[in-house]
Amino acid sequence: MAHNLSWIDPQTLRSLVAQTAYRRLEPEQAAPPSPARPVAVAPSTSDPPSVEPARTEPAPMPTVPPLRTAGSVRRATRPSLPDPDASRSVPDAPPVRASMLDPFAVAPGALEARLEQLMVWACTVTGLARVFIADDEGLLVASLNAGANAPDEAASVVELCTRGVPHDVGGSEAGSISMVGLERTHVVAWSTGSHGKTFIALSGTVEPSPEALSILCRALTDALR
Amino acid sequence: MKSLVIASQKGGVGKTTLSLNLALSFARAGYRTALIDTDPQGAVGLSLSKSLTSRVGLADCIAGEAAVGDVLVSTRVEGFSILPVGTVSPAETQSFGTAMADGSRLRGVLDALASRFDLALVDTPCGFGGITAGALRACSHVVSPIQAEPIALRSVTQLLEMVKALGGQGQVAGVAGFVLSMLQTRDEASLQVARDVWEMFPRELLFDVSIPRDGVFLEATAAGVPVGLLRKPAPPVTHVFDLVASELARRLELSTARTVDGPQSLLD
Repeated sequence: MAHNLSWIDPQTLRSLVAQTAYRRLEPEQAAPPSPARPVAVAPSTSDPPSVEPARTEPAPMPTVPPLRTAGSVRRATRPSLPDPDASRSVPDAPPVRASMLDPFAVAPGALEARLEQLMVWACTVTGLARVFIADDEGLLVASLNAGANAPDEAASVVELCTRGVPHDVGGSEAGSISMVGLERTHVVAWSTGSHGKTFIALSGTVEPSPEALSILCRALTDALR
Repeated sequence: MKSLVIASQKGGVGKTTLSLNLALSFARAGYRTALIDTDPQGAVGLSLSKSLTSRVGLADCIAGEAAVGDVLVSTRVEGFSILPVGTVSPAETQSFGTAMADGSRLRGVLDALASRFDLALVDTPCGFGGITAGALRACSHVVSPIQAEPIALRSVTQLLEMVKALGGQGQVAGVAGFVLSMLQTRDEASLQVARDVWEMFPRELLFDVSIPRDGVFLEATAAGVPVGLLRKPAPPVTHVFDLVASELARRLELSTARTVDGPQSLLD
């Protein structure tokens, strides 16, 4: 820490914050309806209010379908419109600040286990709840909380990154892109290794730091080794 | 109705910019929003229209000489109204501060607005005089911009001390968060302030987005509009205020946005 805050006693600051911060009601204390995620900023409308109710379903366990074999290669069908509910089943967590990022420490094990570990780590670092991994054919390799449309989205994401962005970005061996709308953030990172070009895509309502995107790309490379 | 004070001991940190643009973001998100200017200099009015500074306004309501409904100014943005401070001469500034100090009169103004709005944003002058103290007493939450410059950090603990002291005397706003403002990402000193603040402050009190130092704010002030209305498409920095508003809506537990969350029919 530089001199900026050297004159602030951290203990005093913590004490002051504890005494003055607003009190947030816990979900069970809050009067319904209470939003489970930040209320999205949307264009003004004169229609009556509608607030998404809190969802309390437990997060599904990671699912890792078998990696494709040479005989199983097929191009996924053209993506259909995503299911709005599919992206909302798991709430996002606040992104980890750049100064607190834990690098991805790949554990020895099978590729499936490493990809599972990568997805859990990526959700923690970016704060985004939905994640899937796809190969360079747009086929879904692994997913976590990604919903039923993940196969279609995988094809869509890979097509975007290979054909929809300038070649000096999409054609690079490793990289990442981030797309932000008013309500959603989509992040894609890719890396090229012995399995070919592999993509990891995350989405949610929070905006990860640039540093998180940078180490996400490196983590994907490490997980594929 | 929730009420949110924008306050900072230091001047020139972006309070009025934050107030005005946050109010626009909330209104566009479907929250009926009133922006109340308590700065005797009429900072909000000066940012928008000279005519606002010469109107009857909050000062007249506080003095009991006007009804709130008569001084409220509707804007062209649906659900967004402004309560200008009115005309407060330099000689009247002290008496205006004294009248505001215990918060009861401002609370009366807020009560009068409660049935018509989901949120009242209260822009304050710099310092912790009677006006800001009254706003902190009358409102439910407070947000403070932290200018990303070393000396500006001193105002943070001063605000917390002020809120703590007022809390010992009765009702006071809860601190809903701090927003880094005027961040210059190409300036090492400014970035160091950001790093230090991120390191030291609790995550739940610091917003994940920062307001950059951007010439578009001057451009908007010169044009007399919030940056979100400067042109179409709106300047990218507008998105920062949308994100802050979105997070604040969660922290303030605003649950009455008049938005439609789901498919909307394109045709009848």
